[in-house]
Amino acid sequence: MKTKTKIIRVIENIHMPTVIKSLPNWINNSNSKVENCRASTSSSSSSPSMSDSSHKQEKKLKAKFGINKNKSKSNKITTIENINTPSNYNTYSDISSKYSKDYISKAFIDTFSNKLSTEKRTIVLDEILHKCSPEELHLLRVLIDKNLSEITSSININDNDYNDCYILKNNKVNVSNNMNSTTNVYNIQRNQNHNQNKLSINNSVSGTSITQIPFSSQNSNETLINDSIWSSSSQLSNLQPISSSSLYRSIQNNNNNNLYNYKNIKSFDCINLTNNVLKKSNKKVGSLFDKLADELLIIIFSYLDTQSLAYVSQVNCRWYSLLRGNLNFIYIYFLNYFDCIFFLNKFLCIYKKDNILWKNLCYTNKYSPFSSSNPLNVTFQII
Amino acid sequence: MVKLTSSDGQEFTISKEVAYQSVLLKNMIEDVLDSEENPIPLPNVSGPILVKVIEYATHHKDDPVKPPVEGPRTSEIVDEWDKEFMNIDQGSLYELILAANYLDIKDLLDLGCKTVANMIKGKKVEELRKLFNIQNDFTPEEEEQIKKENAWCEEH
Repeated sequence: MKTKTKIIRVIENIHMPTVIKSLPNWINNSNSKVENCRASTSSSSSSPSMSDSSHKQEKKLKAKFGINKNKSKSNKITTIENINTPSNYNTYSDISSKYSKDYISKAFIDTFSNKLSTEKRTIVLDEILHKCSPEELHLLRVLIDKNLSEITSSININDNDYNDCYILKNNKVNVSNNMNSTTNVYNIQRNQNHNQNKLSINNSVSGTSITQIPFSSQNSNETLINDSIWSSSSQLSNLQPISSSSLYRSIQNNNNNNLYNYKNIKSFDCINLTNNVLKKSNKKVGSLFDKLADELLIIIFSYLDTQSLAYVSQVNCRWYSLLRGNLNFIYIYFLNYFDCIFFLNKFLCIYKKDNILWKNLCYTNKYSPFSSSNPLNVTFQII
Repeated sequence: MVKLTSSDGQEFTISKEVAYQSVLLKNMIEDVLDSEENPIPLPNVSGPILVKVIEYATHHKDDPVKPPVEGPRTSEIVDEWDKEFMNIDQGSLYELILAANYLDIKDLLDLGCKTVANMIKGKKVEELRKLFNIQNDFTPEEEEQIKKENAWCEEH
């Protein structure tokens, strides 16, 4: 299972304690990786004449007087306001008000799920805004851009927005430089140029198929991440941190519809074309079930017998989530067997006592009207 | 008479009897609008779907109020006209369900849901995915676990 999918799934399944518990670890780990890279860069770029002993002395002095460079770094909260201000460059440009917290909040809701309560959503959002590294926030921003570009028909684009992004990307190239070698930087740049050329050709000649984005039954953004960004998988229970730099390299290499292209292609027509193609590609492949709200799906499922429900719950994550709980099964029992008060009493007793899933009562439980061990089984067969 | 405007700008004139099949339209006509003069905008319903909704409402306008159904809920569609009416492609079917939900026409919503339920019934997992073009987003481990959870359904 790919990491982002798992996170989204966990959010959707409202395992909020797990999410809240895991997010700081996930974020801190990825932050520490970036910090380590930066630290190694700064140490390598510092004066070579400085000896180890002088380093130690400096550290001691700092500790004595409470000056801790790393600590001050980690205390710096990355918010959406300073997302475009890479620390390596110390440029504090004005950020478009487009990326205010409310904007992100709305996009977050649209991007992920509206199943969470406002309170829970706020908690997750705050966690993300305050603890995410700039790289991860930037990733979120790319997702949001992609998500909202499908909603809005036209986009107002300031050149400054993408200049900032360009600086940030340059920053990322530097990070990768720190991690590996200078040759990697050149490789990345070549790939960027290659992508730019490819996009330009696509736009000018055919005007179609700029990016083939697969469509998931659950969330197009999720698939976008899965297929074009994440390359490694990890276990759901661990919610492992994501390596930001590898994400960026993947974005740069795999996603043609990235911000580099916007920088060079400033024509609004090209951008609108991109959006239109994305819209078309999403509409082409997606399941029509995506259109139906959960409430409507529950009504549809309420007409099904338990065997069909069992099959339905194995189709995909969304359907599994809907059928995992007691709601639909209680619905079925109450609506179909309201007269069977003696059965219901037993069900309720069991439910209250053990808090078991009603689903498990089907067939396997002697109290179930569907159970083969129930002497009244025949009477309660669904037509 | 009542005038309705679909999302694509088409205008339809229907009788109040037909319009009253929809709880939403009924409330709007009674409470707010003088709809004979001002058309009621329906931004969530396209023209072709509104045509289907009007067709359904016109056909069932004289139907007596149905008593609450006793016994098990069944997805069986009794009326032959309804069966024929719902013989449409998947896209239109979902649009129709959404329109019925938006306009609050319970019978049409139930009919649409029953139709989809009938499509689901008796089909196994892979068949369902293929029929509705749904991507399997489980990992192999998860799929295995879910299969175990639902192993009982294979025995019956």
